[in-house]
Amino acid sequence: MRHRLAVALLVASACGTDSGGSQALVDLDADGYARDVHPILEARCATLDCHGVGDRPLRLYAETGLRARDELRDQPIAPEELAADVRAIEAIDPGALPGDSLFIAKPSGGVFHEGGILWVSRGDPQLVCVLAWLSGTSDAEACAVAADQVELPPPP
Amino acid sequence: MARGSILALLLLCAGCIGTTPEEELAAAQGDDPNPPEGPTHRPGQRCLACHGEDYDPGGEVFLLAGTVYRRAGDALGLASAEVEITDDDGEIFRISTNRAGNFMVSLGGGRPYEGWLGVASAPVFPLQVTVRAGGAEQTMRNVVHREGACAACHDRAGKSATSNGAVYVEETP
Repeated sequence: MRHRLAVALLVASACGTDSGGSQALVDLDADGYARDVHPILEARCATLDCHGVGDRPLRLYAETGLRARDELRDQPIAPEELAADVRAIEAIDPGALPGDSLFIAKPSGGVFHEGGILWVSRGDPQLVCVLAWLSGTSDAEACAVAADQVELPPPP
Repeated sequence: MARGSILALLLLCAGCIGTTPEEELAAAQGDDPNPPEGPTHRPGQRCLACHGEDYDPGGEVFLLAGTVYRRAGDALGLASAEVEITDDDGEIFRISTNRAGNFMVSLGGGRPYEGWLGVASAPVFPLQVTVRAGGAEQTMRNVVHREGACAACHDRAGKSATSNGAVYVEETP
């Protein structure tokens, strides 16, 4: 039994990511979210068939996904929507360290995620960019690469 | 007093429970006790509500299905529009809509009706989708991550906070 527990702990630690910082997920930077993180989440997470659903625990707004109000459809993302996204991320696993939070563990394979594993490698620029933001810093180089990867075509 | 509290609690709980497939089916059918059947029926509705893996009173399970319109506000679907779906493995699937504007994709063969495409294996999400007809073309700006029914995100009733409106090929002038 003790042996099984040790194996389980080893497996769990192998699946985890670097905690990415020592601050819990509170008071996240809204400007950094809008600039660096929101484009990643819009392309990878926030469609109307995933986290762009109003009753999801992690509900995300996006120009191409869920809008906070009908009148916002076809409009650029609104500050109120970006602020609500940040609050939703802060609330998903309050008190967790960035790399340990469900917000990172699920899309990177540490915890089962219905939407699959989005970031296989710990060096994935999208993951590095998001983790830097969660940790209260910024990784301009990773975020620039990520932005190129997730850029959506302009509206018609 | 206790009975009243329990009743209030039950009412509150009932308000939290989502719509069942049966309720969605009944709502979509309206008052029609004998809804039309076949591949041209119910254009614009959420096909997988009745043709999904988990619930298929229609007796036909689709992986993907939807309705294409010439313009966003049209009441009738567009025949012979091409729906091009590119899956995450790069495989391209092309389907032509039937006279109601409907198309559907399912596993296997043996259903040689208009608007249907049989596939040997399910397209791998996420999907990129383009629709075209008469020289006009629209490509979704974002991908489809998991939903097989277009109408789940593209309500024919129009655009809203939860809908990008109907699937169309031409911009409305």
